Amino acid sequence: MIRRIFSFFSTLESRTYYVFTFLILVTILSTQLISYQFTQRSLTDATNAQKGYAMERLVHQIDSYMLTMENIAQTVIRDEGVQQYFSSQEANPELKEDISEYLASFLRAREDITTIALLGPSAKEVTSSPELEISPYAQVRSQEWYREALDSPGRTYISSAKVQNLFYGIYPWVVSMSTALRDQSSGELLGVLLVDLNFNRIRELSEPVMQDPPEYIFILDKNGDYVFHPKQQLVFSGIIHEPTEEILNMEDHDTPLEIDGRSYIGRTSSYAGWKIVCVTELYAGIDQWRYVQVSYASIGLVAFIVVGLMANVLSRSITHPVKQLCTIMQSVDKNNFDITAEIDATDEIRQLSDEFNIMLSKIRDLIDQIHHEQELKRKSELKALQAQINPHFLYNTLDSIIWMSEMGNNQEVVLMTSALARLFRISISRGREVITVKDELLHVESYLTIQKMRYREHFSYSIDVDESILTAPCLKILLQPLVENSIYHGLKHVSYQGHISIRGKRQQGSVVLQVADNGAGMDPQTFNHMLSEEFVGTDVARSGVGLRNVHERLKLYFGESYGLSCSRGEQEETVVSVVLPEHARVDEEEI
Amino acid sequence: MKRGNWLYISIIIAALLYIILLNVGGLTNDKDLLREKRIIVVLKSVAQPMDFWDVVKTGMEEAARESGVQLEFTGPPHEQMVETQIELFYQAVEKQPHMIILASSDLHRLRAPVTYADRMGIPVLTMDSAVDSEIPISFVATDNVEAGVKAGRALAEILDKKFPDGNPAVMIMSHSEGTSTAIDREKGVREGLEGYNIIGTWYCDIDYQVAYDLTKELLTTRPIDAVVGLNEVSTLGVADAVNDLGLGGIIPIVGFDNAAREMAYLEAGVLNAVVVQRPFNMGYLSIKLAESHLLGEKVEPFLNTGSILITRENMFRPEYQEVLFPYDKLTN
Repeated sequence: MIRRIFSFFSTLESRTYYVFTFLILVTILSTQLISYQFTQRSLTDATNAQKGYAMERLVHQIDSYMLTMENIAQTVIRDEGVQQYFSSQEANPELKEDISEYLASFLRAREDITTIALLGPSAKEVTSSPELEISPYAQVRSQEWYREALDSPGRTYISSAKVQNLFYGIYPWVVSMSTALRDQSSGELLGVLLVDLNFNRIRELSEPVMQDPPEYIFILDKNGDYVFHPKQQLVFSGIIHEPTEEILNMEDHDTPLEIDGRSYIGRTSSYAGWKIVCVTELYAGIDQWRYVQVSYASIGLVAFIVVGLMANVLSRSITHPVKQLCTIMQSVDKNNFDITAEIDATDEIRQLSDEFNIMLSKIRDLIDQIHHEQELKRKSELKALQAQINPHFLYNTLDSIIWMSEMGNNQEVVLMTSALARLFRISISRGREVITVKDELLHVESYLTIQKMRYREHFSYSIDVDESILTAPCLKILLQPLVENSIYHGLKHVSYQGHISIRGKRQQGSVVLQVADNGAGMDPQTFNHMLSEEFVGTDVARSGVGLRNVHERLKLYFGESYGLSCSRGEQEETVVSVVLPEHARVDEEEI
Repeated sequence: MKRGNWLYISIIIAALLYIILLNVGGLTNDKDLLREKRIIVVLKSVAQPMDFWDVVKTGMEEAARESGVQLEFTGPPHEQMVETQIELFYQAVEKQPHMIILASSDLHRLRAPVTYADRMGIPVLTMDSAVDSEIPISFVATDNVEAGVKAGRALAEILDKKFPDGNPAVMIMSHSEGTSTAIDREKGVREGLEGYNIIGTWYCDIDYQVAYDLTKELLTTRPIDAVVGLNEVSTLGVADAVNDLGLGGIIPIVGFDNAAREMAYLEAGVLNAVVVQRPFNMGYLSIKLAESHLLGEKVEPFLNTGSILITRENMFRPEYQEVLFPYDKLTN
């Protein structure tokens, strides 16, 4: 399994693909996350500002509403009839009826007022609903609104939202505003004015602005008690907790108080002293974020496919030339060095192929060098072989000289010795390999002179060479082995006197030297056989060495087309021919 | 690898990305899940403004507003119409909601419909009144035995003061023989009044007139010292009968529920105490519990939404006012 997974990463293509895919994935995810948070933050800030504004308006509405009520209350308190009724000792039933009608007119004008009531300390009671009796169970004068109004005259008391039980069996939700009723002239406390506001009016105002995300508005009074909470029962049952203490200390600004995953934005009413708070679930999510996500995912999909194709193209641009280069290298494995890699690829790969080409040419140079060195080695080997002939011949010649000296043939001794001297002088030739045909002929003649003196009547010789080729270049010690061969293999074993004829002429732009003998004869096949490499170890081998030596030297110095050849001449002659270039260009320094 | 494979992998990764995005972006939150859910609520009665069920509905609507779950209300016009409720329950099942919340009118007769809903793969949550079945995922209600005990003990206290040496006779006016609320409350009342002389239980069948007539008859024919009414209708019937006989404040009455007239009687002293439930909480919590179940959370088999003993002394306390005197519906 693990190996299979790794095999996904084995090619350049797959690696490119996975790396880019991963990068895109990470990029998209992080971009998404960041933009989500950014969007959410700015959205939240915007909503918070909006809510703050809504709260401000709400506070303003409630305050101005309350102020209107306050104005009504003040109007009622200053009313002459009211003043008169409550300041007089006796209760005037007619006046009471008038006042009642007066109070009821406010109710007709404003349906958000539930009740207006004037309560004296004793039984003096006037309400806006004359048909209703004040409840005997209510104990109005011990109720908070009554006491508060009397305790702090001049200030309007505002209650929390509550159920009013002023009239028996009628239990409306109201906010009670109460204020002390004073005698306008004496300042004496005459009673309390109660204005009950229909609480539904405030509830309507407090309806949440937004439904989604759901929010709700609740109101605290300055003691932290609830004026209103839409989920009052849940609050009182302890199912919902509001951090009332923190809310009371909260400033009126748009940075929400964030507690328990809910955010609170509040404003304080300056008139009622209420704190109006808007509550929202924190991080309620962003609407229509799905579209953003879907588009990001689509971008991802397209990007992944593009990456897939790109990975393919990209890796191809690398692997294809590499494969080409590889094929070229494989042909080098098969000893083909004469190639050049020419690849259309990126700079890096082309550099690689250029370096490969440089390397290949270096190898070629090295091979050439080795080739050359081996040639040189071969030449020096041949030189050494060539030098080997001499001691044997020298010994025989010197022996002959001794013998002739003993015989007192001074003339012959001189002849032979001078021939020997000439032989060696030309052999040495100051180290040069190439000499003139003239010198070579001189050399072979010296040799023949010596051999002729040794073998006397065994053979005769003749030299017949064109004057024109005498200055042509020639390898030294070229003819002597051929003559030696003729003597030892052609003439030595025949009963008649043999003849060696050395001829030289120009022929088709070449110089041809021939050594012909009329000895035992040699068929060209045997001759060719003697020149070949494998002809070793037999009887004729030793003199064969000399012939082969000459043959190889000719090839080495003048090229493959030059060398020895054997043919049958007139009168059963064996003719060994040497073909030389007319103008041989031999680099002497190499020898 | 071939190009086709790239395509597969790209699509797989894109799908993966999409899933990740959905989760990271907080889109697949509970809320989105709940917005798709439909719950049908089968109540005991609808269309009676300002009564118990109206407040239950308000609590449910408040919970639904918070979560976005879709609610649909149904129910017979009157509590005693069990057949209609069964019919409406079957209709609700046909609509294939994600859940049905049932306030059962009868402990036994709703059993078959609930079983049917379960077979159709619709979970049922019961509230207020139970069904004798193991199928409902939970039961959200007032612990009526506990509420009964509260009523019984309150009466016991009054009787102890009023008849320090006597053996007062107590009658119980129950609203129904088959409903679990009636059964449990009676059980609780009897437990709270243990050792007292309970002369018997009468049933008004959720009919005010029956309760009124029956009480009047019993009070005139038998020596009865105290009455317990087990729900709104029976309590009002009893209270009206006692009041009309001029025995208000003389014969102690302990009742249930918080109808406006009951409150007036409480203020006047005709009723000595009432035990009230928390219908808003009941509605709110039953939706919350249903949502928990829809989100795959484990829910308790029973949730007690509690009850309060209300007397003249505490009836205007801020914390009880809204329970006793529910807000009007805003018209806008």
